[in-house]
Amino acid sequence: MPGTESVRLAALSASWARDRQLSRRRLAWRWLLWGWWRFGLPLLLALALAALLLLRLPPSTVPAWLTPLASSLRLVAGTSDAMPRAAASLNTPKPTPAKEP
Amino acid sequence: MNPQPANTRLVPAERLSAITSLIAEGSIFEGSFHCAQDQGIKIDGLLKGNVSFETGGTLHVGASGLIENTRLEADYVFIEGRVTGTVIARKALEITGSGTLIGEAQYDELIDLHPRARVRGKIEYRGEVDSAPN
Repeated sequence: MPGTESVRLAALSASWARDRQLSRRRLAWRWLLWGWWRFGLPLLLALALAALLLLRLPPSTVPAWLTPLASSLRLVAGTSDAMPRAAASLNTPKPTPAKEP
Repeated sequence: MNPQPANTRLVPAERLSAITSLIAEGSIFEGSFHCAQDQGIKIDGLLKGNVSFETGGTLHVGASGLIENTRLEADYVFIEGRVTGTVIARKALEITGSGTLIGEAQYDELIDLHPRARVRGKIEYRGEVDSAPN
């Protein structure tokens, strides 16, 4: 039969092990939350603002190195000229070949 | 291999190892805990009541521990869980990054708040502020 001292130590050890797990998880979550508000959200907002500005710029004023990004953004946003043109070409009836006599 | 107590910066680890009473996780204790000797209590469950040690005493609130609307008084107080109420640490008060204290904290000698510790309320040093030189 285990003595009271060994039972006490076993209970404390089990409690410390649970504490360690839980406190690590909670601390990590708190750091993550802090990191999100401190860095994640501002970064996301800055990127969104930059994308919005890029979309608003006329295509001729977009720097060359940003052109691929701007065109993909336009495609995603549905503001590209390519899409309506493609849609229009789908809807226009194909010219029927002239009947040969 | 026996696990070691939490990594403390202020409260001596041997004080945590010498704890003799435990309110286990999942249990609820309503009432006052009073001890005239230098012993210790660890709270992993829910405590609704006061804890006081006349001399000495170590109070360890585990990560799963929850203490509501109470008055806690001991030499060493180590908080990893959530405490609502008044805490009086006659020697050292330590709140880890996973700990939360809502209420009043009073200490006589030392205090240590780890990064990401949450404290809402008043923190009061009970010693003489003007007695020691700068």
